[in-house]
Amino acid sequence: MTANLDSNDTVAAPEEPPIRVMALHALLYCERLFYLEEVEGLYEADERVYAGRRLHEERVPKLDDDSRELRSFEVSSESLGLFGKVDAARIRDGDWVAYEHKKGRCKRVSSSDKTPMAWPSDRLQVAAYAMLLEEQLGQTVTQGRIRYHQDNVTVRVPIDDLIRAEVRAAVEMMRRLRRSGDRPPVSDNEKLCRRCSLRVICLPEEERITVQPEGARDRATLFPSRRDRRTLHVTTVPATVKRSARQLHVETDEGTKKIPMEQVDAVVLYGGAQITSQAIAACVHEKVAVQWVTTGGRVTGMVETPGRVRQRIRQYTALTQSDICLQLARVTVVAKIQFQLQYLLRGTRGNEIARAAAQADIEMIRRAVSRAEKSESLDSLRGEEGIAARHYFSSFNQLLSDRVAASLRMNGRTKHPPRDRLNCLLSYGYSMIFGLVQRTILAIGLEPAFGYFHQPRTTAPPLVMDVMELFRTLLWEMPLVGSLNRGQWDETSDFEIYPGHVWLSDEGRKKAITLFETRLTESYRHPYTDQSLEYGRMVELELRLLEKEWSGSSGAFGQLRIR
Amino acid sequence: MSSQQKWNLVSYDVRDPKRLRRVAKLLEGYGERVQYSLFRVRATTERLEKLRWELSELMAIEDDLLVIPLCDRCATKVDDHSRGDRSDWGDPPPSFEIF
Repeated sequence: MTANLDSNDTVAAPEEPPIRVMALHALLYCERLFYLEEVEGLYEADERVYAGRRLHEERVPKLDDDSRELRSFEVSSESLGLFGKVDAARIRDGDWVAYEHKKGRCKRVSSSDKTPMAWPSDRLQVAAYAMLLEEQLGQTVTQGRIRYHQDNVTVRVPIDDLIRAEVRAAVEMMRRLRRSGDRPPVSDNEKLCRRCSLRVICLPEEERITVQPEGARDRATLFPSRRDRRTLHVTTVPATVKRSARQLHVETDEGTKKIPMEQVDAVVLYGGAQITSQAIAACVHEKVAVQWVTTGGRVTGMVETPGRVRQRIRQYTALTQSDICLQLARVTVVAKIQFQLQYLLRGTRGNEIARAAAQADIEMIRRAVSRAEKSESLDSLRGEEGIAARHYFSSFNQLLSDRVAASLRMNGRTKHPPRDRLNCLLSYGYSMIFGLVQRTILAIGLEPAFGYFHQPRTTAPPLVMDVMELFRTLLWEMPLVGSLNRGQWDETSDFEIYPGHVWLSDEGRKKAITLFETRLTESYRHPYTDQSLEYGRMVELELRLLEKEWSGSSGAFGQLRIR
Repeated sequence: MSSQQKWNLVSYDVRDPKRLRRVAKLLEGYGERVQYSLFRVRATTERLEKLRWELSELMAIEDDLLVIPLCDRCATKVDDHSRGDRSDWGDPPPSFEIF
C-alpha cells in the first residue's frame, strides 16, 4: 500500500518552520494558549503537565506479542508543516496504527449514553501523528488509537479524508496566528483557564476585570499569592557558592549549608562572595537568578539568559510611542505621589503635633498629585515628582516616633553618597527594590533597558527605575519607619561613619536584608484585582499587568494604593 | 491555590547502585534526607509532580517509590527523636537565608 498523499497538500513556504503536533492541542484548547506557547515561547509546566510526562515514562505499556512496534520516535513533515513525537505505532490486522496515551478520562457521548469518545483535540492530535507516520513509513495509516489511562479506555479514531482536512485546516490556522503580532484575546470559557498551565502568565481573570463593571469581580484570580522558593543572600567574606548535583552548597567559615536548588529562586552575591562556574551554569539551567551587588548595595549585574523576542518586540513597539509612555508615566508618578501622601497622612494620624508640622507639605503634595493627574508631558511629571519628593522628605521625620534618636533622623534627603544614617538606610532599601525588580523583569522576559519614564542611562536600566517607583514606600519606607520606631537600629554597631558618607556595617546590612525580606512575606489586598497576596509576589503581578498595557488589555497597572 | 506547600515523605527502593545514587542526588535537589532511603520534601503540588516525573525518568519498573503526603497537623506531630529528624516541621517555609 502506498501513502495516500493528496497533491493539493499545503506546501510550507520556506520561512514557515514546522509546528509541534502538541500545538494542535493548545490551539483547540485556546488560541491564546497556542499563541503564548508556540509563538512567544512562554512555556510553563504545571502539575498536570508533569503528571502527563510521568505517564509516558511509567505507563506506556510494552507489547504482549511479537508484532512490530515503534515507540516514542520523532517524525516531521515539510509538506504537512508539522513535527512531533509519536507515543507508539504498531501493526494491527496488517495495518499500522498510531497510539496516543492520555492521563485523563475520555469523553462520553452524553450523560445517559456512556459510550467512550475521544476529545476533539486528542482526535486531531492522533490524526496528525497518523499522517506524519504514513509519510515516514510510506504506508497508509487508517486508524489512530487513544488510550485514556484514568478510565482505562481505548478509543479508535478512523483516519479518513474528513479528519485529514481538519488537520490541514488547523495547520493553516496556526500559521495565520503565528504571522499575527497580537496575542489573541482571553477565552470566553473561564473553566478552561482554571486548568490551563499558562494561567500564571496569561492572567485571564485580571484581564476580565478590565471589561467588567465594578462589583462583578467575584472570581478568584489564578495568580499564585505566595512565593514558594527562597532567596539566598551571601554577604559574608569569605563565602563560596558551589554546586553538587541538584544542591547549592554555601561554604563560609562557619561551615557548609546545603540547599536544594528546587527551593531557591535567586542567589544574591554581595561584595567579595564567590560562586563557581558550575553553580552559575546550574542556576541558569534551573532558572535561578544570580545577581551581584556591591558591599554598598549597588546592583552591578546579573546573569541574563536570552530573552523572549516576541515579548520584547511588543515592548519596544509600545514604548517608542510617546502617548503610551506618557500615560504609563502618569500612572506611575501619580501612584508614587499618592503613596507618599497617604503614608504621611496615615503616619501622622492621631498625632496632632506631627500632623500640624507636616500639614504644609501634605498640602503641597496633594496639589502635586492633582497636577500630575492632568499632566501632559514627561517633563512636567518629573517636576511634580520632584516637588512631591521634596515635601515628602521634608516631613519624613514626622513619621518617626519621639523615641527615635536624633542621629537616626533625616537631615534632608542625600544620596550618592548618603550623608546620614537614615539616608543610608533609605538608599540601601531602594537598591534592594531595584535588585528585586530587575530580577523579576528578566524572569518574565521583558527588557530592563527599555522604559517609559526615566532617561536612558547605561548604569540604570530605565524600566527597572520606572517600575520601582511603585514600590519605594510600600516595600521599604513603611517597614523601615516601623523598625526605627520599634528601636531596632543601633546608631553605632549598624553603621560605618566616614567623613561625608555613611555605610551600613555587616550587621546593619543583614538587618536591612532581613527587614526587606520579611516585608516581602507580608500579605496585602491588591485594590485592583482584590486578591490578597504577598508583597514578594506583587512585583511580578504588577510587571505582568504592565505587559498587558501593551498586549491588548490596559488599565490594570499601577493601581496599587495604601488605605 | 497551588502555591501552598505541604510536607511529603518520599521513600524508595532502588535495585541498582547507579540508579540508586542518581535517585538520591535528585532528591537532594528537592528536600532533605531524613534516613537512608527517606527524604522529606516540602513542595507545592506542581513541584511534587515535577519531582515524580524526574524520578520516573530515573527509576526502573523493578524499583519502588512511596510518596506520603503529610497534612500540616500531622507534620507538626512528627517526633524529633529519630536520627535524621529536624525540629522545624511546623515552621513556615523560609523565604530567604542570609550568609
